[in-house]
Amino acid sequence: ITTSRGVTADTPFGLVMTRKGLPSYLTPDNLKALSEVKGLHVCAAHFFDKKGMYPKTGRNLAELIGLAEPNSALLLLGLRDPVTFNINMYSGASAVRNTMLSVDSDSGAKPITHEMYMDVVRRTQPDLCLSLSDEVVRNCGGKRAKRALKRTREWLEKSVADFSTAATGEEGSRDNEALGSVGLVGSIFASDNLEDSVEHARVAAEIASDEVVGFAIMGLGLRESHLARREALQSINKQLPKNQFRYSSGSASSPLEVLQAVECGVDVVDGSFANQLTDCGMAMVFDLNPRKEEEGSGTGTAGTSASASGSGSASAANMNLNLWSEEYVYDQGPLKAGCGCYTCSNGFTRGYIHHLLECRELLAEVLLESHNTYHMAQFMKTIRAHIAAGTFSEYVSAFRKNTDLFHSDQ
Amino acid sequence: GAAAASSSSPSSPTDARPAGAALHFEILARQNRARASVLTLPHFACSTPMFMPVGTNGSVKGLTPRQLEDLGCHLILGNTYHLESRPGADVVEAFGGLHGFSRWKRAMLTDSGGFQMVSLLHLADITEQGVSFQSPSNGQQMLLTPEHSMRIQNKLGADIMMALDDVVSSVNPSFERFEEATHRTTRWFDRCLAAHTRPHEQNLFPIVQGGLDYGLRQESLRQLMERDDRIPGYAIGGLAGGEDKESFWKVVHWCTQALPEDKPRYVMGIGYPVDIVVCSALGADMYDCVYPTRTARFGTALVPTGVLRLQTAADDPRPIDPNCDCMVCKKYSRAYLHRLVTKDSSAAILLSYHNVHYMMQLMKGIREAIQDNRFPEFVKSFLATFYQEDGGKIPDWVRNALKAADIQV
Repeated sequence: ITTSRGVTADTPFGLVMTRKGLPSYLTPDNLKALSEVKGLHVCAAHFFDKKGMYPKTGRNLAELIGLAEPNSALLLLGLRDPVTFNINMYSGASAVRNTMLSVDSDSGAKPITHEMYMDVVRRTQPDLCLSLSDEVVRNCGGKRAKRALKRTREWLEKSVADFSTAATGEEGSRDNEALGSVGLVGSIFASDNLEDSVEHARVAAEIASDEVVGFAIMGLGLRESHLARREALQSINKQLPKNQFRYSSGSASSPLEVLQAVECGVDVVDGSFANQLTDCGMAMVFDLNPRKEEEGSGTGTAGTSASASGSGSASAANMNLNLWSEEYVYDQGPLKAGCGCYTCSNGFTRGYIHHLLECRELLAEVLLESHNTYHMAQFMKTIRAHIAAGTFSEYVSAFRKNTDLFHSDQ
Repeated sequence: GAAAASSSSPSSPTDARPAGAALHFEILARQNRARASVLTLPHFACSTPMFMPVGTNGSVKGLTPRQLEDLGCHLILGNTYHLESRPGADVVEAFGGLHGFSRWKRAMLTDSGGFQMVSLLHLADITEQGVSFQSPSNGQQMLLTPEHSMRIQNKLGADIMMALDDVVSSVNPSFERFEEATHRTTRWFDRCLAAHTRPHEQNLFPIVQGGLDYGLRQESLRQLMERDDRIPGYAIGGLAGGEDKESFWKVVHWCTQALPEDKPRYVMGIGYPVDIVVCSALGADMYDCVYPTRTARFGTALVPTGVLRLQTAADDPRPIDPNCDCMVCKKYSRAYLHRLVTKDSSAAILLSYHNVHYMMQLMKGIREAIQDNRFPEFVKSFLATFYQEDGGKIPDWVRNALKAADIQV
């Protein structure tokens, strides 16, 4: 993907979650050091407060958050923050009747119109923006589900109309000039009725292919089974033009799910689960290069350390470490042996990070976030390398087997 | 695993420390009473006057060691009381001392633990033996003695350690209490000297006490300087506790006048920019305070005209300080930072970053002005800007203190 301001990102890659545009714990200098991070997920809902949308100054998003340099990460804008706020199920009635979308923000539930959202897009000029999609849980009822598909399609049509006037200079299109540098990502809602969703995707492809740079498959990660998710992704994918990228929200909350999403053709993955681990004081340490043989041996095995505790066994099976655990008090090992992130390559130990967590020191999260973000980016890099080399299927099998070993050990 | 810091090897091939000594102090330039110097410690050669950010539990509020290096910090402080409570000096020692544990490569200083105890703990009681207190974790009666403080600090391994002193709040009304504390501080220093096991790797500083009384201060100075041959540097304590500013500067003035020229002077707990400028004019070299990083967490930025509260900067498109060249001022508007403060961690980090930068630039300005022989001009210019919003009116205590330093404002 190449954006109009020249930012490029190789796919598949994962998006790093942000709060008000910035990763929670990574300042621009620390983020810059994470050169494999390709994109950030920015939430418009973070930019509303009691008085409306802010800031009112003329800067675009990249400048606002201090990431306007060349070689910086790509910025994708959506509405809701899927990590902090669940779907607002309770204040939707009037909003739904009035074609508004109710979304939670720091200052409470806000009914958002399409125009309000587009206003944010025009002012911030992100590299990519999602068209609005409805927000309902699975099994919400047939009528509601159908309405969700309809609303999502209508918003897509409106976005397409706005974007298509951006370059034409037609009367009334002045407002939309600002959209000239933004890439529209058309949202498709994956409801629990597969047939409806597939038809909805087909229609979306028809109305939007000319205008969008990619498509977003929304509505997943909300109680569907892995099988249902795979079916939805694959069937919807078939409806979409091959030369436009796919983003999916909510389809990955673990490395295995990332692999599944990529298998199903997703190009831009929601990587926020890595950031959520940081908030829990956890470090992601799964093996990036699982061996096909038993007992993941050789270099790069996760979880080995000079620890006095017993956590060094079945090394490849450790997916996450909970640094709050007392077992790390004397642990002088890095989060993950051989990791090239700032934290691991500068000798920060599990014991020290444990101590920082105990003292409620912010540096704990800074160090964990540096590591988790790095590890996630390395994972995506590994995936890209395997796809390029034609070995992705083998990689997925080896990965699955490694993880299954863990389960069977229990 | 983490490599233990080697604290006995020289910090660089051109290490100026005499063989076996843990400190070398070289004055590069003087102007009136102010001096610009190099303080060579086992881990780093620090430029003074210097401000030392406080890393309470081994880290400075969300800033990484790399960022602190980028900002030009030469020395940071660790709090002995906090580190002994959690995770314990033994644990830190197992990781190679505070340097190995926190991955800070440059210089460090630990306090004695006494001050925190007295200020933080309920039922802390001072006797000749030491500071007795109730352990906050298990309610047991415990005792921090000079020997114990030395043992803890020897394990933490900082370049400079502080003697346990009998700290009395500077607004305590009892003269007898101050007198008792003055003498006891010396007795405790002797016990610290005897208990200190690493004099070639760690520098033990005594703390001059005596409250706000001229006589007691002179007595403390006289007693400590009798031990001068065993003292690498001196701290001036018992200030920064709410005393009036006239008394504050006078105590600093008496002490810096009396203390040996060729050793560093550390005024403890000082962090307000004006206080630092005044103390530097009077001949002090080192300062520490939680103020810059603590005020950052509450959304306040340090600027040349005083402070800027981001909570009230809702629509201001300007950076914190248009003349500041730090990352935060180059990238962010007050309006954007306003949205982050007190709500998001990134604000605490960004403001700490700017505030530490401000302090480092202030110290650099002081040092360079002394070296270029224009320190009085620097002071006048600093004060004119700082008090600009008060119509340029400089407080009497500042005027009086600078007069004692041969600077007319």
